Amino acid sequence: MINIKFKKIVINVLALGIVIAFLFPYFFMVTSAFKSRLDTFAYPPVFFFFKPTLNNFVTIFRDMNIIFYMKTKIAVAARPPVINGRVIRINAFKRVQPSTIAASSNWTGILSRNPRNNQIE
Amino acid sequence: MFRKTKKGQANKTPYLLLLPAFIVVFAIAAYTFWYLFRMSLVDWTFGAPWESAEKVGFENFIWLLINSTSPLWDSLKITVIYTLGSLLAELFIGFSLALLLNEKIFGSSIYTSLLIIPIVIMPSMVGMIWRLYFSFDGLVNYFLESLIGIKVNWFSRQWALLAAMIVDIWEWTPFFILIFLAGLRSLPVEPFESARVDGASNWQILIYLTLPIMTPLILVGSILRFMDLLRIFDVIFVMFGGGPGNATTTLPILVWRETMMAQNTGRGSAVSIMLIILIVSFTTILYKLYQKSRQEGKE
Repeated sequence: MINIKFKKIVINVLALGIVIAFLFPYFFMVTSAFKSRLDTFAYPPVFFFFKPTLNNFVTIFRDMNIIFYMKTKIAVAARPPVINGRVIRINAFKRVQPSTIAASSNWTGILSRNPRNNQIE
Repeated sequence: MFRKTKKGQANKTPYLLLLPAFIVVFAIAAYTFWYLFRMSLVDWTFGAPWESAEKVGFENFIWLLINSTSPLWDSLKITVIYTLGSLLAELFIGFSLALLLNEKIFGSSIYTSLLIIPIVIMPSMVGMIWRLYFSFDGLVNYFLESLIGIKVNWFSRQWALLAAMIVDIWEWTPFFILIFLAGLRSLPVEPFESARVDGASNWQILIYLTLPIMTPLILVGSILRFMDLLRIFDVIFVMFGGGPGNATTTLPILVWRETMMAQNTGRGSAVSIMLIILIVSFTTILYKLYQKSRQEGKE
């Protein structure tokens, strides 16, 4: 019983550690947005205890015309789904039999649908 | 070829509906490839009028393949190391972590959602932040110095490719974790229960049951990532620009260098065509393996 509990704790700690390791660079990137230049390039790096500032955001809105880039990005991102006709795809999916939908929950099954009978092989 | 309707007649409607989209996609792909091929047969300075292009036949290909100063083979070697190294590491780490997250873990669904974050960040942004982390007084060296007491010059010829691989592994391992986790959660329960009743160990279940069942999924993931890795440009370009020297000059970077830096569009196009052939060949091999594994699974 103690062994199983210990195993559970180890697995949980390990999983948490791995997720933190994966997300740490992202955390550092996000916090850097609120750091002064001095704190961003400091060595040893400053992780938590820094004086937060919004100067970086002020700079991008005032000097860099960020709204223009955001508009462009949205325009570029919005176009492909319209061209692909995503609405048509959704409607097509509704026509598939419920049994086929259940079978396609197997991820690989999606790629192996037999076109003759529309069934997963 | 055509599906039969209930009355036994051939139903051509789906194919007719697909035809316009197929024609558009095929025409664009074919024209682009033809234009690329045409450019690979000329000596043309990028930006100069097309009339100034001089026909040289297959000279660009021959120069790239047999000339002693050709950067192609070095670049191919770097591409293969980068692709295989990153892919194998991502597969191994991704599968191991998927197995771990498949256990009953507190907050497993939150972890899964959080792991998507590296994938959705813009590649140019990924390149920029890791360029900062890999600087001599950056985050990576700080941890290395704290743990093992050394600092590495990641922007040297010796370490640059490894740094690029680490970034790709960080960015794309969650992709494998997510698809493997989905696969592991949809595995049938019965064979595993039978194996446990028969006294199989966890290791034996993994090797003789989980891995064979998961092989098609592993191959599908590998095909997708393999194609991506062979044509990756943005992260390497932002981090190293193909340098120092040619230490991170993968084939897509070589295309850019030949076309934009050397302004030799012919050679750049020739490298592009070789890259396309490489991607198609390897993808076909992987796809054949995928089909074979599915066939074996059915038998």
